[in-house]
Amino acid sequence: MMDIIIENVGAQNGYLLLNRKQKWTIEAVGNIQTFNQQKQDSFILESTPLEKQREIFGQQLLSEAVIQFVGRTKKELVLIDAATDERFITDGFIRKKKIKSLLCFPVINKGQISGLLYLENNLVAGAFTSKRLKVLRLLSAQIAISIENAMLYQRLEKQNKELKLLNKELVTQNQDLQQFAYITSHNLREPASTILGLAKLFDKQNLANPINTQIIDNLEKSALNMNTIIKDLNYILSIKKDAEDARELIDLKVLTISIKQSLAKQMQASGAIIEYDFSKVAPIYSLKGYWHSIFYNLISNAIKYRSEKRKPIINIQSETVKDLIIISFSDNGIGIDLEKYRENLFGMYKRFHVHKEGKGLGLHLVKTQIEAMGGTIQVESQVEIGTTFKLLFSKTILS
Amino acid sequence: MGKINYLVVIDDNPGNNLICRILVQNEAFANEFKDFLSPMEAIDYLKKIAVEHKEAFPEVIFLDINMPEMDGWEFLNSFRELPSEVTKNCKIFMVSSSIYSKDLERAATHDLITGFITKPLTTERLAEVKEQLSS
Repeated sequence: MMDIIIENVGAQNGYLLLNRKQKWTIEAVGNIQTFNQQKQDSFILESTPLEKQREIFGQQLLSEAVIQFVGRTKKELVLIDAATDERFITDGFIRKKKIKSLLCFPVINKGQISGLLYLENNLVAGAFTSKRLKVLRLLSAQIAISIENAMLYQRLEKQNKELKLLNKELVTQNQDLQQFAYITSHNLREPASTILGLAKLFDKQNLANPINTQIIDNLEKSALNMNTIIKDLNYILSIKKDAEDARELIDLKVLTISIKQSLAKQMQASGAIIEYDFSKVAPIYSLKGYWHSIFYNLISNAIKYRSEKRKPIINIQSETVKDLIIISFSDNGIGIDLEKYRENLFGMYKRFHVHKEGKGLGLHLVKTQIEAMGGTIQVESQVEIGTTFKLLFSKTILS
Repeated sequence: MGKINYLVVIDDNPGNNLICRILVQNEAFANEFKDFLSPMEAIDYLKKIAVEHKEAFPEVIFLDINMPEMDGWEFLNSFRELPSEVTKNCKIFMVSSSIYSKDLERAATHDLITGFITKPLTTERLAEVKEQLSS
């Protein structure tokens, strides 16, 4: 379209501007040279706000004064010799470039100004004759429709993209839920079947049968087990819901110190040392409860899975890489055989080291909370050397 | 079918092991009964008697699939390493609280597994095991 306009109107350069959110943006550029030379198309740019033309293109391309003028008056502006026109005598750009013919044409659609055509010819003055203007006016309806279509199409593409993303998210959430449902039923089945089996064997004829006491004891254990599982599951379900709740300013140093106090007994018993350096990251704006749980679980795990052969040292660092904030927890403990366990590491009720207390829920909780806030967690580990957990968040999420 | 001599149950759930113990007694299923909460302890024990006390090796084992230390399948891999002259007369039944079809398939095609039991063990299910053993 730009090519047709430039050729028919007698311009050297042409720009199409659109009105986006009350601001003028340069959408397309046309050049008579490119048109003549190698049948190159005028190029369509990523919308460039008018005020950023110097920034993006390295030079000023068009007169902002003219654009604002026509944008306001909504009337055609024809300058026979722009550099000598007293209306724009104060515009440095026009004077410096010694612009001769200048035409700025508003594209009106349904009474609204939807775009602006800005055309220049610096070889001759008065290039934009009334005849050529007539051509432009004839084309203007076409131009208006083209612009409208292009914008509609852009909006459509954007919505499509968003829909695709939403769909992907939904699919993932659905998979999560299915897995969750499976794990729930699977884990509850065990104590449920035990309760059933034991109840059947209760000696109702002879209540004094000593076996009955054993049966009742085990019934109680299984019932407690079920209760705990259900509580855990409710908690995990609530995490995703609460992720939208009130956020506050969190100082990670203060948080670490408070967790050290909570784990004072374990720290003393293990002789563990916690080093931290949060100097590279300002206080974050996020959900305090989650961060408390994340720090608590990762630090307490590091203490729990320490090596008996050396003094446990836990190192917590924060750093920024491009637009990411990375918080890492490193320890020198017994490590994890990731080849064997990487897939199950963050699973529910998965444990890998025997003779250690715990339900196997800690890491699953940590991952759920991190992901609910829009972050990700990575792990690197070597058996007998140590483990490092890295939490990654985009800066915008934590500010 | 008469009583079997020795049944070993391997399951990390003590409630389940109590159920087996009571039923085995009520139904006179076996003369001797021993349960293990840890599959690793069970393997060590079986290794020991395979060497020191071959005649005392259990005739039947009830093995749970889902255990934290090592699961039933991993236990079977370790079991395979025991001397075959001792293990060839031992019938293993896989036990599980869930009827996960993948587990059923795997048990059906596994060379070391004789049958599959769904928890909880009951008089009827024990009777089915007796039938499978006598055929």
